[in-house]
Amino acid sequence: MTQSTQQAPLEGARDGSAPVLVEAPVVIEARGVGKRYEMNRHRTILLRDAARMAFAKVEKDYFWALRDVSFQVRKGETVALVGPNGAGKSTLLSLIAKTAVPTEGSIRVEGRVSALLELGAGFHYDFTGRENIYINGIVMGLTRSQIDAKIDSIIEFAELGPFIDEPVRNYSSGMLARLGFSVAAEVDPDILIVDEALSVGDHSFQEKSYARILEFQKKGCTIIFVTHSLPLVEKICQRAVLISHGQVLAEGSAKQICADYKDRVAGHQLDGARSPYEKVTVSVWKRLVAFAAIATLAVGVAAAGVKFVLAREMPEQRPPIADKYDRPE
Amino acid sequence: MIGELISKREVLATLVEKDFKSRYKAKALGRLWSIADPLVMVVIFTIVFAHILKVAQPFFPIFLLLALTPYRFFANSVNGAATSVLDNVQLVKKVSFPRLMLPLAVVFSHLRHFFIELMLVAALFLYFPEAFHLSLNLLWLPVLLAVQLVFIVGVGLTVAALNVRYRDTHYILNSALLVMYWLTPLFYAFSFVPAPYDRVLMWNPMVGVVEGYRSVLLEGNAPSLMLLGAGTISALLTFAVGAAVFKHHESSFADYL
Repeated sequence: MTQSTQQAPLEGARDGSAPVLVEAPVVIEARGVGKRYEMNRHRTILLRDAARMAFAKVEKDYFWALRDVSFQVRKGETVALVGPNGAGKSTLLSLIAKTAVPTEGSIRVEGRVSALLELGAGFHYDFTGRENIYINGIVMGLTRSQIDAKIDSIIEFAELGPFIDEPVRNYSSGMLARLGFSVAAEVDPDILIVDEALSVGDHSFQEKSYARILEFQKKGCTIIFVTHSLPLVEKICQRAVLISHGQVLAEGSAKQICADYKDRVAGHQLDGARSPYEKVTVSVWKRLVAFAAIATLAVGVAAAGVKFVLAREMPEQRPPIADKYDRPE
Repeated sequence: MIGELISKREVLATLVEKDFKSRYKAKALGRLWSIADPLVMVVIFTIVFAHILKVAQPFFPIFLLLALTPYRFFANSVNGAATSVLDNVQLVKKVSFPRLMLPLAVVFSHLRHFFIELMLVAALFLYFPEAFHLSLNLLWLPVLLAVQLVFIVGVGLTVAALNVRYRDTHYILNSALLVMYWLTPLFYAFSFVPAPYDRVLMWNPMVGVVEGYRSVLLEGNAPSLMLLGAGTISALLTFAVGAAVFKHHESSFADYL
């Protein structure tokens, strides 16, 4: 990547104009992405439910956390996802991180993704900070020798000092977050996902992690940023996508979108184009037949087993136990 | 799927290490627990079965342990595999890596425990040297272990995947393990099982495996090919079911956690 493409996004962000990055390749492309979750109301967990549902017309309720989401992110861009609570931002991040799979549409992500989500949450509490650095780092895609080379800078960045060899259960929440950030930041990702990660840690650590994120930006790393702090969005992002009720409401330069978002909040105009709820009627026959088959099988096996065991001949009766202990001859 | 496992074997090794070590963290007796548990069981069961019920079986403690150790490997692995995905909720939600590694790591970690527990078997053989039979049939041991592993991984994958969506799986598994405990010839020799039970029970892969270990080590004979054959067939079927179930469910794990 040339020097000019690396600098372009930063310039764009500063003067607030839409960045022009035509030559950079698309590294994240979502096409009509939808993610649907089954709502709990009719989920069959109990056998009692199964029996009731076998004979009833059942409507399954689904909730579309995301629907018809399409967007592109080019290499080196820093894009903010903004929107109210429950808009589907975190769901979208999990699709980008490939920890979840879209129900419809497709999402293409190129390069190694590192996620700064729920920092340190994957740590094992009985292990020391040092051990957790290795476990988390390797699972995130580093090799053991890479971590060997980086371990000192990770520990130093996390400011843990002698606590690094203490079990993580003894850490304060700030220490956990710092350690989590330090590991995730060393993964050297092509795409960095930041979800409210900066809100933990004290002021000086926030500044430090901030500086680290800006370093990533300079190196040409693509960053997806989720935060409720609009000033932060305007400060470090070139572009922003406004999401509400699982749908993309607007997309554009960070400045425009922040302004747009504030206007919509003031005017209560955050509703999506269509309802995220969906009802699907499930066929009665299939369930009835399945239930009948399982019930017949279960009763049949139980009855056969009981009959078989009872048919065996019994041994002779033992003498009463009192004969041995209470009435010795 | 296999290619990814090989290219990311360091991840698997780390998860195995994590599972193995976590069992001993903050425990005063540490690794001694691996030995203490089976030791207590051997003493109790020898008293009950060899002395009270008078099971006529020479070298009963070894006879028992040769079955109990592989059975414990099976039961502990399967039990651990069932919660392997749930125990790593944050990892599954946060990082994308082959989910297969979670149950596999538990199985391999218990494989290490299995080898540690075998030291108890070795110690008993040192105490009863006349019980041991050195023969070329010892070459069957890796085969027995392989059949056992295939079966364990098969069951482990099935319960790991199902338990994410249906948490009752773990309860059902506990009942099933209790049934397996008595239907695997731990306290008796399979030759005592009368017809028609034996024709049904032999399809339990642990029967062929456990009796195989006994034939090889206590008699110097080859394992019964009928028992091992039936066991291998069910083990492979179980493995196929496990792989299919896991593959079907793994992409939706994060949705149910």
